Amino acid sequence: MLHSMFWGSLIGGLTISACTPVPQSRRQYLADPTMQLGGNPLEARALRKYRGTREGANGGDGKAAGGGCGCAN
Amino acid sequence: MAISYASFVSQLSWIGGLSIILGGAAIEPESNEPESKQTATFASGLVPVPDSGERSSDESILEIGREKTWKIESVSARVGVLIQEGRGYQSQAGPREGPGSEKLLVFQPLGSLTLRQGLNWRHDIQWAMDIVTAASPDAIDATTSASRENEAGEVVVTSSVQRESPLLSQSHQVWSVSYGVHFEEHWRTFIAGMGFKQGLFADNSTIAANILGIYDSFDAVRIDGNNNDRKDRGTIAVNGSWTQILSSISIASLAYGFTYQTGTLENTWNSVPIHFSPGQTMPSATATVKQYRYPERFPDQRKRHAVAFQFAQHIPPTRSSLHLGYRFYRDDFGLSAHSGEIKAYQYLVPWIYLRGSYRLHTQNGVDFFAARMPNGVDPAQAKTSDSDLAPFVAHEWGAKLAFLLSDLLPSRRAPQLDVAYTRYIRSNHLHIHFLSLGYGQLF
Repeated sequence: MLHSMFWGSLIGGLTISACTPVPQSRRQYLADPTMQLGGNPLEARALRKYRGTREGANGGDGKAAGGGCGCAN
Repeated sequence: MAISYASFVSQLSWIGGLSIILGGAAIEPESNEPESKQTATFASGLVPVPDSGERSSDESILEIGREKTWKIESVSARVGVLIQEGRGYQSQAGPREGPGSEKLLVFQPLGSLTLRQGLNWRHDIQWAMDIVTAASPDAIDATTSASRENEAGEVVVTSSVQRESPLLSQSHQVWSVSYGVHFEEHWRTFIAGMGFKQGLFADNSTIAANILGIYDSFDAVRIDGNNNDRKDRGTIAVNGSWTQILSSISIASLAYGFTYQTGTLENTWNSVPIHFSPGQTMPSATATVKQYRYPERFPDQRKRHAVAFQFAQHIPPTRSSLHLGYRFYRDDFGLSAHSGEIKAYQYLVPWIYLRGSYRLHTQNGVDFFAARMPNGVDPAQAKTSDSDLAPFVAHEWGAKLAFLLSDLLPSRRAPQLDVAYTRYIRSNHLHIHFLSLGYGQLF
């Protein structure tokens, strides 16, 4: 029940609020460094490296979930 | 500390509902807010926000003569220090039946350079090194100190070209190729990939897809330190994502990644302690490691799925931003994981912001994990005692202080500096301190 409520409210909210396109001239806040979804690329790389080598679960970030190191993860 | 799935989802539902209310309210910002932000390339739109300090002539505005020029667009560097303490059964640095020490120190310098070629081409060069000082976390130190200090390096280049979409007005396309190498002691990795991004509805939506191939070749160092042959493994990953601008102050992204791996997937130098039942003959004090430990063994293939959702909301009256993230992972080793993260940003003054973050990760472990295996198990049976693949809950707290000096100094090309600290604690006796310093410069 809670599971369905969460996904339903999320998808519904995204659909409703996505109806009005935002022109380029009104995106100054989206270009702010604090609004970048991926964050600082080098910091993200460092965090992905140490999380990926200490947890068995990677992926969902545009990179491969494994390979590239001697960590078997 | 166990976290039930229902409790996890109920907490996220609460936070998710609150965020939807904030995003849907579409609080319109004041139009006289100063445009003093750093240029952000490939941000919400697919084009850079222009830096008004550069507009001094018709030629620079129209970019006349830039068709065949090379230009350094940005330089970044980062240095991190990671201190780890812990105990894991795969480590031989301890009692024969484990757990052994997982203590290590990592020094990690990283850097990146972005080159602009003409009007449409861009080359991102990223390099990284890991210098690891390990107090015997793996078997090699049982016979030699060769890996007591381990160096690894990696260089990856991504070349991309951007153009206006021929079919969709006011939207852009980006095609990219990636290539790189990773080298680490006896380990060699080759990386290649390609990607595509398409803007929709004047770049209010962006869909992206990429495919990545990784080939690893390494010495099959055994648990007794002997090195007889060379092994390899291949990885193919396919990723897709959809990013949507929800309002002038909120954005969300949904991504899926599938990874397929084949070859020698285990660490040949990892081992699983043997548990001898009462009545069984214990190995003598001079026994070789193969008499009291099994080599780790994985299946020859692995299929991995991950779905990730991210949401960011800016609050102009308080100059704050809030990020939420969730990822679900599952693979055919039997491992399932949930990761949830929240980050809050607050500007203290227009050129300094503070970030606080919390991340929760919970996983159930692979099917063939065991701290110890009984004596007499088939050597070909999948087995691991690697603590990274065990069931556990991990908590991570972080803080970051960033200085956007271009908003303070007269030169629009002043650097950005930051310092970040992360504390990571796993329920199976591993904890980490991670401190990093960052520098970025636009040109």
